Amino acid sequence: MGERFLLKIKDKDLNKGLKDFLLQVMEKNEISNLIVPLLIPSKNNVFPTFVKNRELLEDAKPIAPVLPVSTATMISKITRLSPSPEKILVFLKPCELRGILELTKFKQITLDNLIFVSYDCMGAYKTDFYEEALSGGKDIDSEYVSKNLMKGEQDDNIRDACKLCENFFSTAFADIGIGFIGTDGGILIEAHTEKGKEVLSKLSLEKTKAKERDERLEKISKDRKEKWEKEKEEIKKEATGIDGLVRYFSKCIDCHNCMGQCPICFCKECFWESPTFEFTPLNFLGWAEKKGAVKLPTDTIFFHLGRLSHMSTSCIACGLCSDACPMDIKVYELFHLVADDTQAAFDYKPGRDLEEEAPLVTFKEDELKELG
Amino acid sequence: MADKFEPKLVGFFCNWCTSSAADLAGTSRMQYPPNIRPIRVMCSGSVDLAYIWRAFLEGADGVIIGGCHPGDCHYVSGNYKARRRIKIFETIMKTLGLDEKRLWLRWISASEGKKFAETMKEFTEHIRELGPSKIGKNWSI
Repeated sequence: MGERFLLKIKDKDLNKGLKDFLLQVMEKNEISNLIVPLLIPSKNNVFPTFVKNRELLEDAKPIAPVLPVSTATMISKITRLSPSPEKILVFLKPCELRGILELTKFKQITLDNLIFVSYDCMGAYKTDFYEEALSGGKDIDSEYVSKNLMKGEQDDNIRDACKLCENFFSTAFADIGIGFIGTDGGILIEAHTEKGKEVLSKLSLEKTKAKERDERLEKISKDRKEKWEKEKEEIKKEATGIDGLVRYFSKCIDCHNCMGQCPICFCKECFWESPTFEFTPLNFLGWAEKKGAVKLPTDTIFFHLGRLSHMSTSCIACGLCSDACPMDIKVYELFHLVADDTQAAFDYKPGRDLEEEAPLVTFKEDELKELG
Repeated sequence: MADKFEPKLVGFFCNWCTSSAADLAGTSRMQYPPNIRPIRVMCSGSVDLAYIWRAFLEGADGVIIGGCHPGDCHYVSGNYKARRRIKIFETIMKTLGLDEKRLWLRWISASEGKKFAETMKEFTEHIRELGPSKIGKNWSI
């Protein structure tokens, strides 16, 4: 637990209030860059946006309940080759922050000069649902704030992955965390890191304890974990054995969108996109001869099993794979199920600690003796 | 023909140990079942899990990885990394009900020709008992 303060927002509009807070942070700390969810000019969707011109922040929607892409992937695009020479304040969801932590371990993000602000996220809507609401002129953000965010509840339209998210609050990795749950009324600002403490020290904020907060967060986490354990059993029933897997992925058209959106799948030269999968007629003749037939496109189950082998230890359960699937396959559920086990095998939790090495990049001499 | 099941086995054997052990077993005229299809790799640590999936999906009834004893890796730590990967593979198989017993990891040094022949015998018998794998039979994978 870090230092906790109360944030007083004059405006009832939370997006506006948080925007003002971010501006204040930037002003007092001489930060001129901000990455924040922003309403795009067509006014029907919100994307993480790199903003320099502060006038454009009129349309900032920090807590917009939508996750079209992962900010982690976007930050990697910005800082993979070299660190940012200027400070950038980044406002993002906890799952995106976990992605950032994993990508940093894999040297896909340079953390220098990045300051992270995250919050108690009650989940996002599917992008098309959100886009439709905005197109229809609905103030869906305000509705989300009063129905979900402030109550610590989730309505039915929230994404499945979010409904099962156990790590929905800003973790110790966020420099600054914003809390809505168990805050003794009002909004809580918490400095988790030294960097965060320094940033907040320049603002005049009133201290608070928010005694009930940890207990309430834990309770929500626990409830969701129980729900997930039940759901796990259902998926296991559905996707067991090769025939179960074939049924589970029966709609897969081999588009690789799940991989494209996965924040963990960062490889520039992906095995599944490599010339390994450029075949000659002889390959197909051989397969058809051996098995009697070969489904086209081939290697769809192979692709999912391979991806599970490569990335499941770092799967942060954001659910973007399911969102990206044009065939509405529940990719996230199956990956989350397997990831739970592969991560447990190494007592590893992605997004927990930067010092914790990813299972596939390290080893211990004295382990796994049962294997040999 | 149909009454006796002959397991199809794929082995990924390290160049510096298990592959040499296979040579030694052969030059010493040791007998072992012909079910194993050995693939020489430069290190057990160079075996991407995709290769193992490929073997199973193409009809292998069992896959065995042979590497250098812990501490003896020609590239210092390849076998330790292989062991972690195999743990992941085994875990995925277990979670998805894919019969993880069909995958073995064994340390066989270049001088252990006898161990190589015995291990191949054991593995063949082990898979024979498990029966044919279903994984590679499905044509829509």
